[in-house]
Amino acid sequence: MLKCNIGGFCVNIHSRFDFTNNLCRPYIDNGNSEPLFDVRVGESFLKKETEKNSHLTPDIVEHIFLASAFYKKIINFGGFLLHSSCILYKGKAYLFSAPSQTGKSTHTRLWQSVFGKDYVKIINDDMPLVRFTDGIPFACGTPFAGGTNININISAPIGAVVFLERAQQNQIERIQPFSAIPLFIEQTKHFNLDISTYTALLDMIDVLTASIPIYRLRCNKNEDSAILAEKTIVTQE
Amino acid sequence: MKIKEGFLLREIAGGTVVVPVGKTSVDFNGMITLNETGAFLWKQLENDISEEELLRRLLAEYNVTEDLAKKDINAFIAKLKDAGLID
Repeated sequence: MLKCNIGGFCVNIHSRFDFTNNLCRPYIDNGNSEPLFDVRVGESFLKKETEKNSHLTPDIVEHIFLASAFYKKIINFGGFLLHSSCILYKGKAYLFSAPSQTGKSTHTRLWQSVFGKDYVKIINDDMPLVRFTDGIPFACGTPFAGGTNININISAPIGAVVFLERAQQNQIERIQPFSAIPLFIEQTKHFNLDISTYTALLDMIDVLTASIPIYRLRCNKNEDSAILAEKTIVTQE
Repeated sequence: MKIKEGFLLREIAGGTVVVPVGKTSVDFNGMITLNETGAFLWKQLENDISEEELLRRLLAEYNVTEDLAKKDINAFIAKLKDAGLID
C-alpha cells in the first residue's frame, strides 16, 4: 500500500504490482495527513476482469480499475477527471479533450515540437484531475494516465479547455458554456454514479464552465493546428 | 403516466440536462438537453400524472393556447416513449 498525495488529496493506493507502484512513487506522501479513502481491487474481481480482457495483463487491468475507483471516489471530495491530454504552458494548464482515438496526445505532441519540450510539459496525457482552490480551477497530474502513462506530479491553474475534432482544415471557435455541457459529460463519463455523486460532478462542471474559456478546435495533424490553437487560447499577460 | 426512475434533472450553465444515474446509466448511455417547457413537463412527469392534469398545469404555467399546449405535450410524450423513458 502506498499513501499518495494526488492533486492535494491524500489517498491510500493498494496495488499488488510494480506497474502501479512505480507510477505512484512520485506521488508518495510522507507527511502526517490522514488518507481520505483507500482504493483497491478485489482478488476475485481482478481474476474475472483479467479473463474477460485477455489482451491485457493483470497489472494493467488492476491499474485501470484503481483509476476508475479513484476517480469515482474523488468526486465527493471536490475533484474530477477530464478525459484529456493536459499540458503546462507559460504557467497555465490547457486541457485537450476528445473521445479516444481522436488524437489528443498527437495534438499535444505537436505543441511540444512547435514550442519546445522545455516550454510544453505534459501534466497528464489522458486523465488529469480537476479541482478548485479558492474557486480557481486547477489541473493536476495523477499516476493514472491511460495509454502512454505520461504524467508529472504538478498542478497549474487552468487556462482553457479545448475539445478536439478531426478535420482537414484547422479551425477554432469559442463555445458557450451550455453547448459545452454535453462534451464535458461525455468526457467525464462514469457508469453507475449515484445521485449525490453525479450532482457533485455537475456542480463542478457548472463552476468550471463559468470560470474558464472553452473552445472547439477542428484540426488536422499538422503543426499549423498547434500554432492556431496557441495564438487563440493563450492569453498574453 | 410517469417517467422511469433513475434520472437526474439538473439546471446547469443556464440550461437543463437530464442524465442517467445508478444502474440506469448502464442501459441508457447518453444525456438529454431540455428547453424550458421540456424541463417543466419533465418535472411534472417525475410523479404519476394524467395527460389532462399535465395539460391543466401547462396552461396554468404558460400563456399558450390549449391547441398548442396539447401539441407540445403530445410531441414531448411521443419522444419520451420512443426513447423508452416513460412507463
